[in-house]
Amino acid sequence: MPPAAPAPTNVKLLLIGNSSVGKSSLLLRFSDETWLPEDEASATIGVDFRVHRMTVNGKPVKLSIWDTAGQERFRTITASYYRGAQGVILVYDVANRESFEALPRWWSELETYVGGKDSGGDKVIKIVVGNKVDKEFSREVSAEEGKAFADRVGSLFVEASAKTAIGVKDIFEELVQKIIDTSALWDTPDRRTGAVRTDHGRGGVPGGVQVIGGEDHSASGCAC
Amino acid sequence: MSDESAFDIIILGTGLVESIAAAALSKAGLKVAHLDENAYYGGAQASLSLDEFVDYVNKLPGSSVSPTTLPHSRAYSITLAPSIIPAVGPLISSLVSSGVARYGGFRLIDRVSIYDKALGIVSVPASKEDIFKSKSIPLVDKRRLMRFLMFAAGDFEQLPEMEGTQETPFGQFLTDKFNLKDDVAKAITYALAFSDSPAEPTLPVVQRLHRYLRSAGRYGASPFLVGHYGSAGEIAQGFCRTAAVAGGVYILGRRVTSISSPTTPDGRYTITLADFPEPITCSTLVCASSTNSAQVHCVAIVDQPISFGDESGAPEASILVFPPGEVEGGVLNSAVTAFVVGESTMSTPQGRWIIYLSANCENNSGDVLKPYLDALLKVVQPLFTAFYAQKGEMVPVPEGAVVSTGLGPLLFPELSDRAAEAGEKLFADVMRRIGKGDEIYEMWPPLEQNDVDDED
Repeated sequence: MPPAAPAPTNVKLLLIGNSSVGKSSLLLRFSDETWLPEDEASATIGVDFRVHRMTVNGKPVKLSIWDTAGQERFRTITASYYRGAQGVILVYDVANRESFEALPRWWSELETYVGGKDSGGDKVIKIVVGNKVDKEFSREVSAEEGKAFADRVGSLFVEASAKTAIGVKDIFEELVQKIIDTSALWDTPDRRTGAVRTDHGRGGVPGGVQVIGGEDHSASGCAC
Repeated sequence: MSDESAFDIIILGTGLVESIAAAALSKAGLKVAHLDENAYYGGAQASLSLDEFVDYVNKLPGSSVSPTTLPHSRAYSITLAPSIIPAVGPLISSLVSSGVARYGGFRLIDRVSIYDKALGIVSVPASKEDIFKSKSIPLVDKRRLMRFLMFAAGDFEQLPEMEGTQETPFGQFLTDKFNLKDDVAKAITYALAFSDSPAEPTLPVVQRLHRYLRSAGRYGASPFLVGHYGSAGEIAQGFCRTAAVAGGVYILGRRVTSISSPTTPDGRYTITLADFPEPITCSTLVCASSTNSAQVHCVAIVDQPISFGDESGAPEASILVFPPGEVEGGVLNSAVTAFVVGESTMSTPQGRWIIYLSANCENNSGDVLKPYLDALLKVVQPLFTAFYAQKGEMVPVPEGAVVSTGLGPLLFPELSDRAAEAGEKLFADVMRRIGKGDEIYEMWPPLEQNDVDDED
């Protein structure tokens, strides 16, 4: 019998940022390789999360990438949205200064929900993304400014366009690469310290149960 | 007025019942705005950080909160509605069919114990295996207990024991029909059926027990699950997210300053909110139940596991039931339920446990629970305690609104399923109100393939 394929590492990523900066478009460009013209892509309807498989350092990784479901509009993103995230994609629109200036507020919301340095939140890898570089002619935020913000908060930085697909793969590949590299440092048996949890916080916890349909499903974690 | 502020339905309150209905209504294609005056989701079932919880309790009249401040407030998810979920029942079905189950994790309950005046904490056998293994139950009682459990798990309604006994007090039924001794009868009544009193009529107790016995084995030995991060409040957020994915609009933390009812049969409600640019309108207004149920609560945080008797290992999600009259100084006539949760429920930091005590009773303060907490803690000093009471009261509801069914007073394992049923009823009531009651609506349409998080 051939050896069983290694179980993939589960990684949860989140998108945040102001309305209309193109969070869903980035997600759909990356996962479905599609682009929804702007007149059809009003406020987010229907994007919940996408599952995407990739290989990092020769090992399978299963990404679940979550969209805000439009709940960023009146800043009512649920606390549960942030739970268990290992990577956060913080998006602004390079042609909309206001969306860039909102980044510090998003950053402080992140610190509230995934924690700051003292509660393990610094283990969550962040990437700042300047989207819509296809709108070069109406750019309001320079790449230097974007990079400076990312450097200041200690985050990765990429400029991209969901419309032309420029930079989109880089966002996810750089983020996931850094998560995998970093998790090798802390994903040890005593990783239960701090606020970071893996596997959507389900199979990875002792006694954890995944609730799915059907009649008989025993505990998927350890059966203690 | 812009099109963006006009909705088919506005729902006031993000409790579990309203959140379930919001998800189903949004999925049915209706334009829904879902409002809550609180800055957090979940209403009376919210999961709060420690700081938020302290703020909440301090506002309640008659409450007492210890002055201690603990670090890592956000690492606590303290539920306002301690509850568990039977593994077979309406809530689990809704979680699976709506897809909300994929948003979070769950944990099995470790064990249920009962408090005995003479013996202290006694573990209650959860399965046939436990009963066989138990050294504390004499053989003849084992046989009687097994016979009763087989009866309750089977088609009991057809059996001769149920003839003319539906209204019989359950305690008397156990003695008359199954010759069960007092201590065994007490364990069945309080710790297996979660009854409040041996005087409860037999039929509903056996029906409840039947459901619990059939729940055992679905996800593991225990019939019950608890959701991570405070369970009910986290689940409510999951349903709200599902509503939002289907286009529902969420506005939290804004006070409703006025509601004007329609003046003509096909008119609209207009609602103004504090700090909100323009009024929003809807044809159908939905709001949470007008009645709260009277309860007393205690929340305590400790830094060492509470021993639940002889078993090894620290209980991470365990229940202890205090029948009336078993605790020195305990004056309540109803049973008190203690629910102890640890880190693996994701609702506490490492090395911390939350103890919830609750009972259905009308009282001015939660202090009546102190003797029960002392009996549970023995020598352990809590790091934090809060005692509070929730009064049974009527809240006015806007004229003409579709109002959800009130939940309480509820036995400990019943909140989840009653909330799911009330959510389904609220959905059906709204559909009827807007003239779609005759159409056959699946409450939860099949999940799209893209939404399916395939398993490895």
